[in-house]
Amino acid sequence: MDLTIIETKPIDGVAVLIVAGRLNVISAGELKDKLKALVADGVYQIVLELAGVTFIDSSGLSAIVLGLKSTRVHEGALKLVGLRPTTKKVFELTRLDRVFEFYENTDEAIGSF
Amino acid sequence: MTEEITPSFHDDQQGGHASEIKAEIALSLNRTAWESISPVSITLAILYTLFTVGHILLLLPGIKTIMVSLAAGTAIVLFGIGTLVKRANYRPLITYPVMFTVFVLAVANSLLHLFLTNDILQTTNLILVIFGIGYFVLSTPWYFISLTISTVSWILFVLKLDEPGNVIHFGIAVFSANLISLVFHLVRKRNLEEGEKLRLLSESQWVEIEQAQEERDRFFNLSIDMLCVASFDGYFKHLSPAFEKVLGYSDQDLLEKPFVELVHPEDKDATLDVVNNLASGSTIIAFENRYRANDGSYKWILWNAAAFVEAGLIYAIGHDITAKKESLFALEEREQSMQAILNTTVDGIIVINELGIIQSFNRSASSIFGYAEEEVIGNNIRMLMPEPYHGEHDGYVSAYLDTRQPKIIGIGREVRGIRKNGEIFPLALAVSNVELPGRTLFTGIIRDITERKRAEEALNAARQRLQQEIDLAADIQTSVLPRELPTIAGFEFSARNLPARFLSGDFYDFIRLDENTVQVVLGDIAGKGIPAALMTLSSRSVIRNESTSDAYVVDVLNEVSRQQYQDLSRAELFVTLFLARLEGHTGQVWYASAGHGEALLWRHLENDVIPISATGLPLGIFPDEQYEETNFSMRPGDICIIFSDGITDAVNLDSEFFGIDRLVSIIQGCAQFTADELLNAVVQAIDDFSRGVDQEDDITVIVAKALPRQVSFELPATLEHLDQIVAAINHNAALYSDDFAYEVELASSEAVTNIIEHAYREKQGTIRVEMTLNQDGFQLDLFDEGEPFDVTATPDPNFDTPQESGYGISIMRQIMDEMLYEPGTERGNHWRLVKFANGG
Repeated sequence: MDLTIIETKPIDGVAVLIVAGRLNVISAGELKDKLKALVADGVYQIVLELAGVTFIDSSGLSAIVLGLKSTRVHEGALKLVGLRPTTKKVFELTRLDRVFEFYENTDEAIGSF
Repeated sequence: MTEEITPSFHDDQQGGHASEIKAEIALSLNRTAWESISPVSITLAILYTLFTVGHILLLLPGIKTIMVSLAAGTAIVLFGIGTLVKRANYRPLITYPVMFTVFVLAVANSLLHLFLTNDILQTTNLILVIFGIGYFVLSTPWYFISLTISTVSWILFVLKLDEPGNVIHFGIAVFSANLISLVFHLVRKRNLEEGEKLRLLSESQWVEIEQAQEERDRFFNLSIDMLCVASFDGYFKHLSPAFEKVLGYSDQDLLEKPFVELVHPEDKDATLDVVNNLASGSTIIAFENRYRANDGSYKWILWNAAAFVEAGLIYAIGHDITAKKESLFALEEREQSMQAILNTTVDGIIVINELGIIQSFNRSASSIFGYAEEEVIGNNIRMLMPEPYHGEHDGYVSAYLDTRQPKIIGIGREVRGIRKNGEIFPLALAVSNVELPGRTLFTGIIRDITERKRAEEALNAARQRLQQEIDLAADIQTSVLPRELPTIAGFEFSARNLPARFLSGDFYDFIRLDENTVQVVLGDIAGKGIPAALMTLSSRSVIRNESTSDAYVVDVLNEVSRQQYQDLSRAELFVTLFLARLEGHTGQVWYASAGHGEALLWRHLENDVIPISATGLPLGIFPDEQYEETNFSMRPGDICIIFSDGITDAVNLDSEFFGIDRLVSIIQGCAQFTADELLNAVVQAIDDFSRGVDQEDDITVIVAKALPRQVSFELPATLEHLDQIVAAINHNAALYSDDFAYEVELASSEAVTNIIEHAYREKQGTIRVEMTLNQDGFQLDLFDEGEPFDVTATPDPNFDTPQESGYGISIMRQIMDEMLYEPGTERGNHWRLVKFANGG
């Protein structure tokens, strides 16, 4: 309930998930499920719009890493957009900033595929 | 005639000068001549006339009668000439030819008788006449006497010639007459011889006398003193020129009127007395009187005088002493005025010599000590002193004379004196010394300070009573100040009130609103002393009444403002008032300040001082002033200092203000101090700063220091409570900063997730959360009763490949400055996460 995920229809095979709220052990499962469902649906190019994420811990991170791994299996990618500095910091602490691509806005992220 | 030349001037030698004597002599001679002429020569002339007439009547007219008449007439004429010559020239010898001529005529007359009458008796008589005349040669007066007697006898003979008895009788009479004449002659002759000697003497000395007279004249004329001769009748007879010089009158003026007319009216009686005394033969020495000079001024003359009583003359020497007299008068006047000053001076003035003997004692001294002047003069000053001065005073004086080190001279002192009636009394004594050739006098000026002392004592007593009341009031005022400081978690307080006077116009208060909240009050009445102190009491009680746990400070302030406005404006006072509500468990402060700008917030972490500004005007200016309320939070270590302007307005000897900067630097230098220590440091600094300067204003200081505080709670270790737990942690950590709070939340989220997911798994249990907010940072202690967790068994993840788990511990390690895990403590497994606020 603390997390809101809005899924947009894939455009040119790129799906955009708009995530808002707290992304922790409680809500991470929900994001994981969404990502799994997209991959299952054959969407391997995913953009996560995280500007609305107010809090993220390692549990939230693991959901995003799961999504990245799942898409990469299918030669796809999961790209991140609009991270708050606090969110970005968590990626940096875990060196995951080296494996993700970060974009300022969604169109840019979509266009990068 | 010889009698005329009798000199009398020798009697005058004792007074007057030469011309005077000469005049006297002339006068005397004239008188003698005249006296000789009148009776004698007239008698003679009459007798001769009768003699001639008798001849004519008896012998009938004829040649003989004519001859006798001619002879008699010639004799008279010659006598007259002789007399005149004598008067013109005082030489006595010139009378002899005259006398001789008379003698010759008398002899011729007798012979003529003999011839014409041929009468024996006539002839006898004639012989007797001649016999009488014989004396003439030697003594003219007696010649006349004998001649007269002869003539009378002759007349009687002529008338009664015929009786023989008569003739005998006549003869006896004539003989007797001649005999008497002879005796008188002999006596007179001797006198004449003496007179002649004297005459000769005076003649020989005449020149000498004249010389002496001239000297006397010079002496008289040149004398500076006023020499004079005056008569008993009150007129000057003769005056030396000095009179004119001194008095300015001509001699003529002075001689014309009685000298007493020129004498000063006040001196007239005395002068007349002196004249009388002189007249009775006294000699007058040093008589002084005043003469009116021609210019109207009076001259003081000193007289020495003696009288020649027989001549009725006064011989006097006057000396003009006006100048001396005037200086004497000036001196006397000065002395009198000095004496008058001494006697009218309120202070007692006593003069002593170096032996302590009283020389002078003025009237005031007399009335102070009760002794009359004559009772103390000549006595030792110690008679006016009680012990110990009584016995020691001589020592004081001699010590001074030996050392010349003044102990009291020129200094003045309060000592004690003793009155005649034995009463000992306090007196103020000032002593000065007067150095005279060879001796020293001491002048003591004395004031009886009994009354002053009494007044001082009364004043002191009144002052003491007032002081007691003020002390009492101060006690009351102190008693309403908080007796103890409030104790709430999260803050420590210190407060001090230092009144400039005994009563303070400042006040402060701590009102405990609930267990976590204290309201701090600091008021500063614009004024000091009693009115301000009274106002503090009233303000305090109004604030107390209005402050409740649910009242906003701004509401309290508005209400105080409303209630106090009337009183304050009536008393023309203003109050600055600071109200702050401090919440111990959160560090939150809400305040409202009525014109009180004296408050600072010191941020420990930033080492920064932030002024806490007023949120409205002082009380008493507008009746409906609406205040505002402001909020800030204090971290542990932060200090809020609220004070009165007595601190910043304290001045030092150089008239510099203590100011806010000095206060700030004290606070900055005392970061680790307790509230008490800081307050003491401030007070000490003020004290040091304004040493030597009276405290001008009341000083009040309140220090509130935020302390490390703990917040703890315990919740079930379920995912449902995860957000609540980390939110609470975030909330407390947010005191340091939002980023700080986020990171603490992140770490605590990892820890709590770990406890829920791994320690408890599916088991029931709780998590106890203890947060300690320190001044340097945040400490989080978590306790759980789940399975111990081997933190060392979770190595850092492989950062090269993304992993789905294993990042939690790494994140915690990186974010927190300290991470500790103790499994299985008494309170369960213990996580400690510490993050320093300064980022250290």
